[in-house]
Amino acid sequence: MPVDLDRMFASLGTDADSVPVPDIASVRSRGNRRRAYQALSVTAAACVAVALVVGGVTALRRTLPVVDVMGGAGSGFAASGPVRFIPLRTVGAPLAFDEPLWFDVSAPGPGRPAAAVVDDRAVLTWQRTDGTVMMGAASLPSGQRLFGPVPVGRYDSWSVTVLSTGILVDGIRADGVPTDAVSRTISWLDRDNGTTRWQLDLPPAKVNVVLARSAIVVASLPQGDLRGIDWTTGQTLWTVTSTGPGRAALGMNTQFDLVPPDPGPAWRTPVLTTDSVVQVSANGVLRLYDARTGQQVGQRQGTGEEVAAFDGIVYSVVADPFRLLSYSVDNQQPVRVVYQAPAGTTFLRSPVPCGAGRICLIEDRTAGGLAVAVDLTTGDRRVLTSTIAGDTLQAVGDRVLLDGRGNGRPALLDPAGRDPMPLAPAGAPAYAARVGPTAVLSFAFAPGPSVPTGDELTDLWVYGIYPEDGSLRPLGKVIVQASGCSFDNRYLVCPTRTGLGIWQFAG
Amino acid sequence: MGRAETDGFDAFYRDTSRRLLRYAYGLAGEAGEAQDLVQEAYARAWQHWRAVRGYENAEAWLRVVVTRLATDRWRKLGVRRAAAARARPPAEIPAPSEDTVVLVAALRTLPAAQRRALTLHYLLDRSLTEIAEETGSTVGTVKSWLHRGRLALAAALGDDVHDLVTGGSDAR
Repeated sequence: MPVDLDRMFASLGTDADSVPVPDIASVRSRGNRRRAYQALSVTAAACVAVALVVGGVTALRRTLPVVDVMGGAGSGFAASGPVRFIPLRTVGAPLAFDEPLWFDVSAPGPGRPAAAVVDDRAVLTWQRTDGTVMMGAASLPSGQRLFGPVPVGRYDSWSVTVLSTGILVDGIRADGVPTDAVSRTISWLDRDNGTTRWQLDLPPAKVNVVLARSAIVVASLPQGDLRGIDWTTGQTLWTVTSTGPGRAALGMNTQFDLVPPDPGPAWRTPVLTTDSVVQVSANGVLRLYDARTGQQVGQRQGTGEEVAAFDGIVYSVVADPFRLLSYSVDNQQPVRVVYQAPAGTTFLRSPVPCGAGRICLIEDRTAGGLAVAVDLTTGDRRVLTSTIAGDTLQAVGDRVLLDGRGNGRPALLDPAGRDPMPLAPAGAPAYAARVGPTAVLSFAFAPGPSVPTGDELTDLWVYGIYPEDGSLRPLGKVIVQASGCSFDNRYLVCPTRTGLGIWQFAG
Repeated sequence: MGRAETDGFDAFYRDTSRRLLRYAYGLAGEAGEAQDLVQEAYARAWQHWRAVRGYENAEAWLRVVVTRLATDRWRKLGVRRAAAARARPPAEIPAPSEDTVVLVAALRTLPAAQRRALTLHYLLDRSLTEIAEETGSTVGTVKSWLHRGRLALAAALGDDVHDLVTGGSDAR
């Protein structure tokens, strides 16, 4: 009997029409919370370009990563030298934590496991079916167990930032409300045993948290108050009160800051190498603070929607037509139109310096988008490639990395006009990230028509690429949950079937 | 946001949310996930409402957001879906029909572009030209997506496709 698609789709439509639309108040609330917490979601995505891990570690997970891997704010974080690739070498035996890590990924369930590596250790985090977040750690380079499994809290969504000095857990308990969390707690854990050193409850929808080099800065948006929290003790170092209602607070990034690939629904915050924090008031006044003391060191009237802040310069976007502006908070540089996008642009994002006198960015459009390079002197625009949702740019030497997160086809783009450099074998969905200052790691799945989610155990081929020669160096194959992997400049760590897998990929 | 902006957003939401949920359901194939996609898309619209309200076709922009969210291969579902599952009483959402269950399973085997085209075509009654404009492709490409999508559905469903044999309704 032939299949009647009209009838079947009509049935699908009828079923869809029986699903209640979300409550509008909760939608606005979710939007407001995004504005508050992740005001900088665009910022973070934009910052990826210049911020992803120079000398630190980066996370492979994309949108809802459980663990952010940071190189250690305030603790010896430094850019490192070039990466020298070697064939993958297994470190120790895969470390088991004596409980199941995987569940049915096609159904609602706990968050997927995620690994992190920083300094001399690798950390694995996973969630039990009751919502309890668990953690375990192994030492490098031996692969021996350090601690775990230990419970670190029960959350609906959370992020874990692993630092050289400890582990920061930012957890939300939705308590049955998926979009409007009712409690938020940040906890500082001992990195040697996972025990909680201090804990701080925050009003969930009314604060921004900026992880500066010397302090955690908590910005209360309704009042505009700022509070500096000591990383290791949780004690309040300073407070600033009554600056008026705030819209956001963001860190002034440098190219050495570690910014998550995507902030995602878990509230992930970049760890700064500086102590410069920008507070944006409700009426658009930008104030620059020193996170060490709480002293205000600059102020000016902002304009547009702030999307990034690098090296003293704030970038913002204004509409009608869409333009990217730049200016300094300390009033030393006036507002300047960096770029005006052509008609049809629906937003500008991911600005990243890409060579002398150039900036690269993504022009979002209703259908797809474009990665473009703009000459800051002449305003000339060169289209580098088409983009789709989720694509972000990162600077890699004089090239720009399109990470492939959106379409599974990562490439190194050349703002000067050379052909894009593919970063995976033809037909193999892949994604890529910078490792070290100028090298790239690429992770390819088996060839196929679609890009795997990476949430299930799968074969993953690892390649090292030096942009200067462009060749793919096969480093080896692993069987891992790719979305939970992380790496630093030497080690790749991933959830495996038995627990935590560790491989060395660079000498 | 001022009162007028809130009212404007609310009116936009009331006018478009049902259609967007239909579209999200077609892409996601699951009620809870469709609700989450819709909520996230409107949250982003609210976040950028001053810009979005000026778009020539804000509803199409929302569909693009939903498409991107639904096809973002790195969008991890675990925690969000866990939270949603705890929050949403299953009884509020009627069980899908047998046809829907079978069709959703078949749709999941299709590439995202084909699935998107089929959803726009069948669930939102969009013409070939409109689908081409929205997806940034050509009418010929859309035809190809629909054709190959139907063939793939036929294979997945284990039989011939009726409206493919009879010519379907691509002429819109």
